[in-house]
Amino acid sequence: MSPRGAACYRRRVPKAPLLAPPGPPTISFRWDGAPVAACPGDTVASALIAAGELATSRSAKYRRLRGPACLHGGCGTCLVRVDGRPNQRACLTPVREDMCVEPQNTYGGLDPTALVDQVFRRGIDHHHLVVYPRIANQMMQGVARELAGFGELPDAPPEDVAAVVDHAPEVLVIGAGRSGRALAAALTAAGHPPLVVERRAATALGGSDLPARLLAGVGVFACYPQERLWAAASEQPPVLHRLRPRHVVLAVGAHEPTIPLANNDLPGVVSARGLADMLEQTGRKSSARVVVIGEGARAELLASTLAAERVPPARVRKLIGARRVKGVQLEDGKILRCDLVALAPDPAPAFELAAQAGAPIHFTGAGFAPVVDADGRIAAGPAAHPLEAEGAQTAPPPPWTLWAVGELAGATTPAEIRGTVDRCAAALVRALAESPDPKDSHARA
Amino acid sequence: MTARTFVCRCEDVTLTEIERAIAAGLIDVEEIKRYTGLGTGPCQGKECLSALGRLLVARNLIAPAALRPFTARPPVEPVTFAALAAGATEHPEEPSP
Amino acid sequence: MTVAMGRADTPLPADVDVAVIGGGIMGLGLAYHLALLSGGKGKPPLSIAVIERSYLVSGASGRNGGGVRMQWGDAGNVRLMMDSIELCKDLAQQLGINLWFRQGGYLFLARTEAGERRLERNVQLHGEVGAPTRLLTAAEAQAIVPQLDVAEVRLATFNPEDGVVFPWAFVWGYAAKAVERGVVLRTHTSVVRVEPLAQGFALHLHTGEVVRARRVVNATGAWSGALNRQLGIDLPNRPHRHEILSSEPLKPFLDPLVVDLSSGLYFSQSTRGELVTGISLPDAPDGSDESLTLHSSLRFLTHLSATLTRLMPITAAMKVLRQWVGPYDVSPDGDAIVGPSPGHPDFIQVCGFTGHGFMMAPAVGRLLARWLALGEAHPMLARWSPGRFAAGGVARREDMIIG
Repeated sequence: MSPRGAACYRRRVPKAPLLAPPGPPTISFRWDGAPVAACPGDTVASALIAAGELATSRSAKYRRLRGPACLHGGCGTCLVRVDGRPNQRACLTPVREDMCVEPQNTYGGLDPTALVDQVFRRGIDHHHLVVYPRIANQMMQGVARELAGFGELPDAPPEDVAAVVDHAPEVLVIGAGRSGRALAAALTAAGHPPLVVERRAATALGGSDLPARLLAGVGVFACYPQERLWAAASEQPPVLHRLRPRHVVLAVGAHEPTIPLANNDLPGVVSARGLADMLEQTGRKSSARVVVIGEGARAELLASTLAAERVPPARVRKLIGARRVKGVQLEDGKILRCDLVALAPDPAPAFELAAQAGAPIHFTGAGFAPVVDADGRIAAGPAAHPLEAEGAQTAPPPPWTLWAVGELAGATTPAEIRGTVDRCAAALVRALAESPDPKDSHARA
Repeated sequence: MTARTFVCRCEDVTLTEIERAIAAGLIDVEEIKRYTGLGTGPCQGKECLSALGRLLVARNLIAPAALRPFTARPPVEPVTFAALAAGATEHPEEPSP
Repeated sequence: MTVAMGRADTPLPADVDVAVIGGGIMGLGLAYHLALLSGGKGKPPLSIAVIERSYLVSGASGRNGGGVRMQWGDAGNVRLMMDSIELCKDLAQQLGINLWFRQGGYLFLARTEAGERRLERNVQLHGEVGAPTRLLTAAEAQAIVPQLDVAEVRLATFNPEDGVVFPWAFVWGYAAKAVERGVVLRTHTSVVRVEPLAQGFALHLHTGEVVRARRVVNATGAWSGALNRQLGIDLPNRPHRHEILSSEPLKPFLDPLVVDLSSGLYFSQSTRGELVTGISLPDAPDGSDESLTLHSSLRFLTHLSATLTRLMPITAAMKVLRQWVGPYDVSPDGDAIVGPSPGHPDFIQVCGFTGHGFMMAPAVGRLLARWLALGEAHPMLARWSPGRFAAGGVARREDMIIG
């Protein structure tokens, strides 16, 4: 229970539901004090969007309303307070009966956007804002400090005892999405069941093809080549996992970058891919009017999946709405009314872990990606930082071989994704046969 | 409501702010990150970095082959101090000289 | 608004009076103060160039925690930092950029008898010098930071004048104002060779350009050894890897910067709401910390987290947002290495600040410029002399090096 209970009992006007449930809702949780009905398999974000609750916070500088957007754990605006813990990603948090979910940084419903717009029509240059005179500068800094930050301090330290677990799997697969699962299945069939680590909770993973050795709800957060390990953690209970694999397959997919359009931050502007995946995982059906903004075959496919009209970004003048998106205004002045805008940009590979592992990184036109060979192998070792002195100590090569499948390996269509998985699985099986694990990897894991 | 175009929603960095940084002579992704704050919020650049890269390339400010991302600093997923504390191997009470 | 961040294509003159190598806060602060002083009393203005090998704030000036304190163990350092903090009060207005200087104080905690004695001795010294540091009981410390677990705290000190800043803006501000006053600032350019001339030096750049300078300032901190070795200058400062992290941004809950003397843990809350924290880490067994490596480690995260969550239990439920590394430029006695180099009096060192150069820079830039432009002496300059190591033996060592 939050100490700032006032917000928790505010009366809310129920909004029109946007996503129909797959069956009668059996779970009830509290959002800003009011009950929200949800189904097993829902995340906080899917239940809130379904209920038409699109705004979850106000933004750092312009104080604009924001809400779940990427629906994939990759953006920073669906952060809510859950049972006294700040900054929980609504899109990755499974619903639980009676959980208390609160918006953050909202000032009890006050709307400062109009004031900010009035004063800072041309934008806020925080480096040169009210520098003179000194007394005004000091007052500005005081106000800025109060407005900055996001959630409030947690109510209490975690109750669960923290633990550390070491793993030394023969093959570590990071990500249990389509490509990660397919690869795990292929390796298992060849007698090399990998350890699969997935940041989403087990309850949020649909499908019947879950890998046998799965750590769900555990996010791999870094590769430390100098310490020769990968690190992962769960929040509840707090557990640190140290992973020392012989092979690492990155099946981490891609991020959905924003498309720079006017008012692209309105609540209700979401990722088309994220929305489609969310509907698939939760079994919900969209009853919302959706406009997809994007170009190319992928955007077209997503628009058809979402039964939405599609417009290319170049035709969009701006998105309209104040507290939530209400429509898309086109360059010719025409307005497409809608409840949700779904952005379908070219995805940007999730290159970060590969970069930490020392992979050479290049720009693909859509985003950054590691350089991979035809089998998905990545030539990676501890890379020197550009500012390290010549002759700085370099660590020995890492004790693992690094691979990529799926979108990280440059695939975009399901057929291409399948192709990267098949080639990587075949090459990995050959590599494992050529250099068998000296110890029983099951026993070590 | 004023129409604003966001490149980084975490830190509220608008296209106008990026354009001002470019006009001031900044073309290095690391410089633009530091001056505008882009990519330093809760998502650590997952949403905005590639959008910035596309913008720099589209405006011919940098050749695609020369474009590099800013450093992908750990952690790429949020991690609590509680979980990390469990992995301490040094004795935390060892006093420094 | 003026923004001068330096450019890779700024034309460099073939001859300058002063060439500063290193566009960190030391180099740019010095260039700014030199430009302010030069050209007075009918003298022609000094021509000054600053050459930075990467982007501004790429080095230690962009990697530190932004703490600014008077609480030192030695009268010279206390006085210097009193000057620096005084300068910080209206520096934003001088430089025309927000520096987010916030005087929330520094709270030092002692958990051992030895630490207790250090704090008592400091308060005595600070009183003599005029710094408003006061002794606090554990309960009084907890009144300032209610989330602390003070069960093991024996004694604390607090100085309300100490504070935190946003480090990058200092560098940009000094750069903008230096450029406004005629300093040439070139970024993304390395000095590959320093050639001594009959008068001054020729700096050979990676672009093939050559700049001749009457005097050269080595303000490259942890990177200074390579340049010094080219001239046969043997100084004992060495790079040392230090790590730091920031947390997710939270609403303001912490006013002072807190230091635990026993562990070397420090933490403060930035204007944006992030907890910024680091710790003294025992050297890595492979010795890599003593070379110029910038890789982050899990070892740092776990060690810091164990210490932090013990001292401030509520942080256990908070999350780390990002970690990074910056080098300290460590001198054997903890004192900076500033002044004419042995054997090369026109090659001037501004190095060896041992992780505390940023907070000292406002005062150092001014006193050094006065010395270079006007020949004005300062008591710290004698102490910082690069020649002091030739005699062998280090007389004293500052014991309030943190992090």
